Amino acid sequence: MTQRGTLAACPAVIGINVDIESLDAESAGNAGLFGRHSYGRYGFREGVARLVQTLAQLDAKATFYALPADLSRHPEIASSLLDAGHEIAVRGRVAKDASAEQLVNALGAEREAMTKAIGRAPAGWRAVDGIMTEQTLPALARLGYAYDASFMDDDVPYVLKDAAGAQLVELPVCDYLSDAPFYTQRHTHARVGKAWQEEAEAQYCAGGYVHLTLHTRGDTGSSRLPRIAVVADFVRGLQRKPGVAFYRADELASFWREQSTVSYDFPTAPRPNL
Amino acid sequence: MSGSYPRVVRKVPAPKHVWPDGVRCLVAYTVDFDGMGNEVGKGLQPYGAHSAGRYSARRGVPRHLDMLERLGIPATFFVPGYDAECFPQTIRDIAAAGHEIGAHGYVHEGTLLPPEEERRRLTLTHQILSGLMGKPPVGWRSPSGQKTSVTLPVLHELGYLYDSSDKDADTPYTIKLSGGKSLVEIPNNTYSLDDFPFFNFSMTPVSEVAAQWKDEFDARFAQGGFFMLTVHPRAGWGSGTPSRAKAIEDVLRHIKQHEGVRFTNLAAVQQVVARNPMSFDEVAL
Repeated sequence: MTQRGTLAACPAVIGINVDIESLDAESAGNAGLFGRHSYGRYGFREGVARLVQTLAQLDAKATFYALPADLSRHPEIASSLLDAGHEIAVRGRVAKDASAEQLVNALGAEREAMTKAIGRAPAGWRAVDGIMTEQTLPALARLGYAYDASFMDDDVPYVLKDAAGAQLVELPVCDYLSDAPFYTQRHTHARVGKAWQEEAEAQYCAGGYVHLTLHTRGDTGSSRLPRIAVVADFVRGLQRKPGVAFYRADELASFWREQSTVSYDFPTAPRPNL
Repeated sequence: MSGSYPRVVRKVPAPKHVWPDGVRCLVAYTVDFDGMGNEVGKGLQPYGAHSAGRYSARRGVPRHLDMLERLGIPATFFVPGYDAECFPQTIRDIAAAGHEIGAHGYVHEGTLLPPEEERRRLTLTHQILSGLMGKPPVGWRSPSGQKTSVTLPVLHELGYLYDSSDKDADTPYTIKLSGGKSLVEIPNNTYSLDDFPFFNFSMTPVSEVAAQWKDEFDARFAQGGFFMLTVHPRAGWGSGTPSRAKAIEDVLRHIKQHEGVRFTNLAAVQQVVARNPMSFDEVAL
């Protein structure tokens, strides 16, 4: 395994989506956070601590994407993650029909809430439901974020810039390097490990990077005992490969921004002729 | 249902020795571009979790062109008009590599449109692709597998020679339209020989999909005939990414090692059927 102090040939990142109560509360409505609406709470009671313990055994640092409201209710989660050297980033939301001003105000309020919850300004952002608008990435850059980790359009990170000087690194993700899409379909943990291993091997051979996405939940997440063993096996397999190193997302974004010789315009989509 | 039921008016025995040069199994590899137009056509903004269509032009198509050159295989790319407008150089690169380009809707329309709007969009995409290629496309594939009673007559009027959308046979055939007009239909099977269901619905490990497709080919090759595989060069449920492209290359190499296999584009398949119509079924609409 390559040392984290330099940019490895095949960087690897573990991004962990923290679902405690906020999302379950939205779907539960009047039913309350009981029964099938309590899988998120599993992440608080069992998942986060188990993931932190496993990451320590693996000597790997990760980035945890959380909703500010969840961390405000559970400050002990934030302190346990930060004390262990992990990063906390924002898992946020944008309204698809928000005006530019409304978007910046909402993202700014969310950033302020997270800063208050964790005692420092977050460097990264991820869309909680995957929905983003054309204005979202430039707005994140102007608010001071260093990276986004929501897109699915490349094999490696890339740098975005505009003429006004706004700059952001995109750390794209991959559905076959995530737990929830497989566990939602009720695949076994063994089959999930197989799919991850195949995907990572191909990324490694093709000169890509490995961006693993996990969840703390008890249903579609990876924190239950047999599933976390799959995560550990997967990480150890990668750590044995020459040229692989694990980074927190903020570290990788920083390396990538410093070493990239090319940058792209913020993405746009022309209006169709409809 | 509007209109009459299609009728099989000519049924030939399993076609033997109809392919040129004694070819036992004619194989077509087709790539549905499916870029940002898929999302834009659904009213989604192609960012974040809906950005996988951007992968087609950035990575998926170049990776496929490299692979096809390495294997010496001709392919047919079906391209929505909007995606061609967004990424014109990618479309020129496909054509410059010698592959066929067919039309695939404007924004991958998944809904049935009023006749005049459907005509407008078929014509619009036809003009976009013709302008980029310097010649008109001769093939069309329905985005999402739907057609209306006006689709084929309009395509015929625009000069198209074949459609590749129906799921009702293993072998190409002739579609008889009104007024003595006809088109060739080159059927595909989206359930089994397409990447989308495996990578979108069942989330099947990539190696298992490759094994499945090899089995599918082996069963077809044993009897001879026609085999067509359809993939999409996008990320997410497509096959542009390294793991999926590698799996596809494994499948194509498996197919290539069989005696009597010939890879061809769909325009060439149409010509074979048009030259020997009595050797193929005919369906009247």
